Amino acid sequence: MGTQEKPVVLDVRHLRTEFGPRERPLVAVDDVSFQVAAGEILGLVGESGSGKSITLRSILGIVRPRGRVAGEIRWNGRDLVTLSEAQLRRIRGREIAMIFQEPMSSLNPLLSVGLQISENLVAHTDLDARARKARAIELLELVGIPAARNRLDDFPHEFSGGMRQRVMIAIALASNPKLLLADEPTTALDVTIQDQILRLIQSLSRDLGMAVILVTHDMGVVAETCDRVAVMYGGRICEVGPTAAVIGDARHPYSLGLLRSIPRDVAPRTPLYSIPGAPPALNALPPGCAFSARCPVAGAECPNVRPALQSVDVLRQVACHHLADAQTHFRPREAAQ
Amino acid sequence: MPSLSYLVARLLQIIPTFLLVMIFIFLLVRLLPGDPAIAMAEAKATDAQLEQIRHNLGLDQPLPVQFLVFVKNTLTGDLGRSIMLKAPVTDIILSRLPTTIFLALYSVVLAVLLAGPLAFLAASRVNSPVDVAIRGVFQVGLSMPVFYIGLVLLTVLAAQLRWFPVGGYGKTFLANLYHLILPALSVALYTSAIILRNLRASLIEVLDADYVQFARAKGLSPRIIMTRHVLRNALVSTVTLLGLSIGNLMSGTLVTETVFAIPGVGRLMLEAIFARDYPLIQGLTLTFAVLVSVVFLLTDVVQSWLDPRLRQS
Amino acid sequence: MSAITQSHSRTRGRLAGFLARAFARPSFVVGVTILGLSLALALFPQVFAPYDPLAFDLQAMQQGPSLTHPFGTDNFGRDVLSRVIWAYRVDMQMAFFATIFALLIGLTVGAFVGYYGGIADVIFGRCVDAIITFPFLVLVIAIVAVLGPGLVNMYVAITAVNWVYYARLTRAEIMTQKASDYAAAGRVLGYSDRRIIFRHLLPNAISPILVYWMTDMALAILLGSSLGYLGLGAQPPAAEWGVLIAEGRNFLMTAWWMSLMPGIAIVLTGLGFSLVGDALADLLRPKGR
Repeated sequence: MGTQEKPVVLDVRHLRTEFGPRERPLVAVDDVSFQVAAGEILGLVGESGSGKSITLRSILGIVRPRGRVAGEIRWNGRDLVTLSEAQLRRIRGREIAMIFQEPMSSLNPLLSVGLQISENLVAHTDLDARARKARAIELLELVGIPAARNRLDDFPHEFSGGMRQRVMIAIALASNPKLLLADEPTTALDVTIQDQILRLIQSLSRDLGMAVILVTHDMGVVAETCDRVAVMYGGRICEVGPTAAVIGDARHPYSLGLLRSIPRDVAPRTPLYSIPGAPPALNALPPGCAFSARCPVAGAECPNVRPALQSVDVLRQVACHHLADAQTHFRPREAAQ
Repeated sequence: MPSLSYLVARLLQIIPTFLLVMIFIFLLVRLLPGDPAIAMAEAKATDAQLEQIRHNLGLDQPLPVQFLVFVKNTLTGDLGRSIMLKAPVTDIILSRLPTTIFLALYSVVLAVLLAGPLAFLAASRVNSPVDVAIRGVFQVGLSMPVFYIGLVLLTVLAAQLRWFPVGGYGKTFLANLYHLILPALSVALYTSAIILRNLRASLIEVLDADYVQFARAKGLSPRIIMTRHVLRNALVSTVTLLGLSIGNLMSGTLVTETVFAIPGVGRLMLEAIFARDYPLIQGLTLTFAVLVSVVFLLTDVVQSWLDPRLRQS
Repeated sequence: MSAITQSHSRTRGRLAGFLARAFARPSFVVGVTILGLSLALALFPQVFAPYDPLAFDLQAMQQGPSLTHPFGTDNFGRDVLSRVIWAYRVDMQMAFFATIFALLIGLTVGAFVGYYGGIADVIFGRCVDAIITFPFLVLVIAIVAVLGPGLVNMYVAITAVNWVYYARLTRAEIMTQKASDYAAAGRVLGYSDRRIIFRHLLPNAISPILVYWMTDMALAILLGSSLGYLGLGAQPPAAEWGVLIAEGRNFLMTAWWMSLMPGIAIVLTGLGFSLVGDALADLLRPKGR
């Protein structure tokens, strides 16, 4: 893989994000730690409500002021958690950029696309009006928008969904960020367009040496795009490792269940597997493992004792008390197919 | 900017509406019970005199002919003669109109100045005590008729505290601002309650919108996010609302002019009604309809200037 | 068929739960309490009024609010509070009669225009455009001017303008409902148009219209008292809040309570209607918006 040799650019340690009253907080992200290397694409995968989007928003501090962020977010020798809003503003959009799920609603409907790109350049560069225009055209061309020169004065509603997502990426890339946070960038798009956008993100990461954190609920997207993947559940990371290893040889019962729910090479008319139960509400998380209520191999201690992330091999960590049981529970049936 | 063809299309749309408005006004005076001639004549008028009045008004001709004459006269600016004031209706209305327009604009400005900041305060702290208090006060405001607000202001601020004049009308712009503050405030308090309710809701929606989140993620300054992204979007629905409340506003000015004895077209309308001055009532009703249409048109233009999605077709 | 019966039982089954949720809201409880009291005052003013509203007392002219006369007395020594209480009868009537016919006409016209569409819809649209081109009050007083002042003529004038607003709302609701499955099911089953409209579409479209009716009754009181104040609505010596306020107008300097006290009743009653209306609107609004 070779990701190990590259320098770590983002180092998140014990991130915790909570909302609501301090006495009875809703903990959306709980003790999450991970690292991203330069040029690497890290997938953050999980169901809705697993805390993956809040993790992204916590990095940029845009969960403030309603959300409270604790822990450490090391970036370029600084801890983003401790920075003021004004200091963070100099990092947002300049060093770390973000794109959102809904290209329809994430672009301001009243402003031309050109203005929405150039306001980024005004905030983060010294370019004059003419240079900004040239840069905007360059960016739109970079993300594959045909006849870019003629489209600066167009408004978001004049673009298709996929094109709008490209515009959003162009805006994000405006001042050469070192890290791109992508929050379900393809969920709202058609399958064929999804594919194009993912390949665009991949090639931009490769060509510009830009690290990417890609949040998704879709294991297929992870398999196609990411170098490494972290699986989240109930605001915590339950398994992290190289994509091929996690997908080919998952260890955590939740990852195993999630992978099982994707139909692959199954005989026709086999019922689709789905993990029983529903994700827990943020105010009803057990003190122990968040997945214990839905876990087929949970023991008596699971709801009470939090399993720590432990290395299972050089590149991989899993948080589970019953790794062996999980293997025997899921493997035989997998093998039978 | 909205295109010329858009404006022309919008203007053409008014024509059928206005034809109906004219028919309505025409029928209002002619088809309902009562003979305008009797109403206009002296109590002891002879039949011949009545006949003469009917002839002067064209009432002895068939209805369609009367209507065509009415339309032709209206288009040439001839709205007949006022019985009460013994002068051309058009001249009377034109001399009284500026006061009313001034009062209406004054009220709108006051209402926006009042509702804007408070809506913002309420929307940025949804369900906080501040928000609940602001909403409560304006809920009460919505239940107060304009004439009552006017009388309360008159009693407290003018009669008791003597801060403001009881009535009257100034000569210069500044004097007008001073003299008309209470009547304008009466209308503004009611109007601001309507604006506040709507603006608060749309600000809450916009503050939470994805594009505002995205603007924050782009590292834009709070000032730019607020002016360019939040306010501009919240403005669209507020402009629509302001345009739609022009009828309310006109109704409010009519009442407030009566309460404060201001010589505008609103008070004139009531005087005309009590004097059964049909040509004047007809002309004034038409004037109000024209005012509303002009404001509707302006609203559409401003809207399409603010929102590019409305510029097509 | 199932879609149709379902739409019926759903409407009825939800009512109990709906009321429970409504009464859990303080604003709804306050509003309903105000309206209940207003209705009681309107029905039995003789029970609540401390004095005869018409009895002159030349010993007690223009007295300010006190324990014996909480709202003071007027220029004939009549008790203002008693007059305000007796006026509930007229003003609550106004809320009802100025709106109910507009509601019924609007529902019928709106339902037919919304269901059939076509040329009727186009004509209707033009009429709406024309009528909303007049300021509401201007049109109403123009009609009153022709008919002559008075309560009944005022009801006629308000209804003549107001039905348009109900019809517009009903039309929009019916058009939404028409597109739904159970309407299609009714057509497939060969039900008559009238049955589909009145038994199936209207019951499902009616809740926003009833909410509007609530707020409109508040508006009717504002409008009716304004017309009373202007001398075009209820006529003196009838006790009506607007009329009472107008009677005190000339005594603002010496006896402000004559004008300002009756206004409290207007504000309270208006508040009652709009609190209930707002609470209902909130409860009935589709989730996720």
